[in-house]
Amino acid sequence: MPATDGTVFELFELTKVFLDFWGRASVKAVDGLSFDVKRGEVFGLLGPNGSGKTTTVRMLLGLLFPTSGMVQLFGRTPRNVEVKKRVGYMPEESHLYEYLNAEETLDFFGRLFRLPRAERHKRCEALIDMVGLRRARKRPVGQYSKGMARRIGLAQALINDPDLLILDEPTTGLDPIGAREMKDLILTLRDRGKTIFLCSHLLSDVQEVCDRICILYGGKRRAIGPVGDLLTTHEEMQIRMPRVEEEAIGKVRDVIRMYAGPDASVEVSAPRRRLEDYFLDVVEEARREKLTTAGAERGTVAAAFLGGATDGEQLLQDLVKAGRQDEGGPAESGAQPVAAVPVQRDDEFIAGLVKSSSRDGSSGRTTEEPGAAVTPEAVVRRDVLDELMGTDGDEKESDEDQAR
Amino acid sequence: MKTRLADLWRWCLSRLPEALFVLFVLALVPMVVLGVRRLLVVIGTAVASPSTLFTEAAANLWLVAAVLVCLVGFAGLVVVMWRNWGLIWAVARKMILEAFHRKVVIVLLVFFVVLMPSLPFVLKTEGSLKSQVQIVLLYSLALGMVLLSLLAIFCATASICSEVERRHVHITDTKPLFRWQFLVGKWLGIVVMCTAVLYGMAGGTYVLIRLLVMDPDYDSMTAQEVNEARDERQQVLNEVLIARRSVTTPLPDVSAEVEAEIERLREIGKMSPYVHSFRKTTTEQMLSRKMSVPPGASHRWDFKGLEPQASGWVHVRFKGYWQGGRGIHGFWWPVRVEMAKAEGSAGEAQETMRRLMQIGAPPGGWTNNVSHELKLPARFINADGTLTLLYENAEPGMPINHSVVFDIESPVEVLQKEQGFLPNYYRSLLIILFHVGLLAALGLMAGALFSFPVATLLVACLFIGGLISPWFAQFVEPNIYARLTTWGEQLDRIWRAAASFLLALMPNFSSFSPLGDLVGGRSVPWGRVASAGSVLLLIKGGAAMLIGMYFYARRELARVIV
Repeated sequence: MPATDGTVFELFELTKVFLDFWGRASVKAVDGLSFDVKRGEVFGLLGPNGSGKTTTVRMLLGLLFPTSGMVQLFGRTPRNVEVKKRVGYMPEESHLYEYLNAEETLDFFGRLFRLPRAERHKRCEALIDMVGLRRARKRPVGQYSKGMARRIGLAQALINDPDLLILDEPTTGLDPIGAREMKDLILTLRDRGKTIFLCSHLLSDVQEVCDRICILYGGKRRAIGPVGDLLTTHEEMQIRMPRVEEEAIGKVRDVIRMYAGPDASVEVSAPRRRLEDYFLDVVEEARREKLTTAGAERGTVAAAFLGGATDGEQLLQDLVKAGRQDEGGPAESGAQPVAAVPVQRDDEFIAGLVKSSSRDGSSGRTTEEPGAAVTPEAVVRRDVLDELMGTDGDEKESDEDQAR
Repeated sequence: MKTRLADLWRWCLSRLPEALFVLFVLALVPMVVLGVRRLLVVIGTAVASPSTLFTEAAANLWLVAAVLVCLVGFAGLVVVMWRNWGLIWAVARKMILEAFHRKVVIVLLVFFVVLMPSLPFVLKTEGSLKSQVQIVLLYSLALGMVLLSLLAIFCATASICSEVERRHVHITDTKPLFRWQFLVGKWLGIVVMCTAVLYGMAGGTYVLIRLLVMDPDYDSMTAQEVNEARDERQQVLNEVLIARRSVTTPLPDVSAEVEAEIERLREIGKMSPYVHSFRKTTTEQMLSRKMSVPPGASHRWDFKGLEPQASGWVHVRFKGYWQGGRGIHGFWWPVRVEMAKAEGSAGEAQETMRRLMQIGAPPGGWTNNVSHELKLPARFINADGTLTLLYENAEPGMPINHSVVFDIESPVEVLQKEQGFLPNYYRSLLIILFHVGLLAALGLMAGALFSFPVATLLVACLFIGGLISPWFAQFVEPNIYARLTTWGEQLDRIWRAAASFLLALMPNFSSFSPLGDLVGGRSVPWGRVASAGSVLLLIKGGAAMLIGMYFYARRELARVIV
């Protein structure tokens, strides 16, 4: 029976014991694990290496069978094909077919979901843009760097617009930009009503995106709950304020000790920027200088077909994409990278709009784009609007030709 | 330029699976059309004369069963494919791309293309055009079959094992397709690819043969050379590049006589303790005696089931041995058997034979232990489809003092033209294709159970076992030299039963092999195609696939089996 109480999946007393050749128990990878994940949550499964995270994920996907206990995914066994239609999975390493290129890879997985040809094509295009592999779309996946392979691995997990996205170490192998995009994407998808289950040992990533976490050790559950609840230190407080003179600091210390007691420890220091933010700024600067790269480009915002996008969102994203194509963006012609500055601004601007239109506004890019904001009208062309409004295709083509 | 070429290659490769599938369908169209036509004929016969059909069906129960299995099996296969086409084709298409990216197909094709044209120069023949064509045809197809078998085995095992070992299944198995669909898709991909490769190889062989039998430059030849060349060419067209119905007469049943002889020897206490051995050798001796023609005597054959013809030719093929050591002499006579009363007699009508034509031996006689073909006018076939032949071991002017013994392994046969070469060639290719389909299924089954080296080794052993199974089968026959105790006899029986069972499981291609008949210009009947399709592809291949599916569906794919 499908779950009706908003439970996406449920593990009940799940245990996995690996046996050796003679049938003797060699490793107890998961030991009586129980928890459930609700719709719209970002749930993180944490634990050190060998704690049973990946084994749990594999049992959740039906790749391993529990020794005892039960897994219910959308109220059914994970091996049910109807259930599989609603799941997207990105493994820890992108186990993709090395001889297929990005397009062929996505086309193959799209076929497995019986997507009609036109829809498949549309989704492939959108996902390739989304993960920033347009320039490398014709290269066999075997020639990709690890980060690029992770990106196409993510794209294949999203081809079916899944209700549940399972990510195994989602930011491993990604550069800080890719990792940031991945985290933004997770939050965007969460805002669109998707459920995301990720397992990782990169705690900062998990802390940033997860609503709830579960920590495993030795295959057993050690802690579970909302991130805020688990991480808030109720015995201490933190104050942020502009830099002031040392004298003022002394006064603040005195006031605090008056209330907290004379022996209370009060630490005062200048805050440091996070290395991630600093790195992203450096890369943005390089981009503004139009330096080329053979690797992955910056991805666009989440593809519009991924469920939950509003009409307005979709329109805006189409405009962004059309604006890029307008500038000669696709790399298949082998052309040099275009001067994408106005497009980049447009992208940022509209991406900002998309985020602001999201339900709770909790997602947000940390990269900042200096320079004056450019209104969308500056780059959005009439032909794109015509297409979106359903105007005749011939007219569209002639407009495009004129534009060229 | 290089980029454009690379793009073009990539584009071609991406469209290759669809192109191969079209070829595959085209390759199967004649089978469907001819099969349906045959079926309509049978239905017509059933309507017109149900009793005839029933009698014929009762006489050919195995054939009827094979046809039914084929009809049901192929219909089931089509339904399964139809209902799951999107998923199965997605997997099959990727399988084809994978095979070409692995370069296995290209290497095998290059190997074949290099080796095939060199066959006429490498292989030793009798020197005649006929033997050259036969050798090229035989070895090209045998080579193609072995290469295709290796391709099917390798692709099947490597593909399924690498999916698991490289963990591609961690992604594909999370998509909404059943594991059996995954295996069937793989199988279809291999079969589609092998069909295209097989028909490519067969096309190459056919072109080579046609080049061999092309008219030479007659202008530069003497009149005698021209005649010889024309005769040789005609011989190839009449005896090799043709499909002829083969009609033989059954060997006489000597079992009662053999048992009587054993009984007699037992009574006088001279029976050998090796009963099996004695029975076998005595049977062979008695048959040889029945098929020997003493000096001055004659032997008669009545061939039934031929098509009466007003014109054209039939061929008589025989192989014999003249005990005198030199070639076989004597005469062959097609005869008309008539029932007539002797003049003035009032008794019953007696059988008389009217000799229609005399065929004598060439100078030096017919070579011993070699097959020879004689050409007879087809008008000698009676209206009831019977042709009676007489051999007379006599030669005027020469003392004949030795018997001629006709080979019991390849008995005298009459060959009558039934069809052209191409339909026969097509049926032969179908049988080879069924064999390849079976090997692909075995490869997938092994791959679903074991790791790559183990799976490949297992299927290679089965393949070789299938090839040598006729040789191995002789060991399963009763132990002709052993003097066994009661317990020993029981163990011997158990061993023979187990070995026979194992042999039956082998992908035994030789019992369906069309190569001998094709090269000999004999028809490869649809009945054999149906038998091969039912036994090799549907029963054995289907069983292998079911076993593979069963274990693959229950396998923990995230655990790599070493």
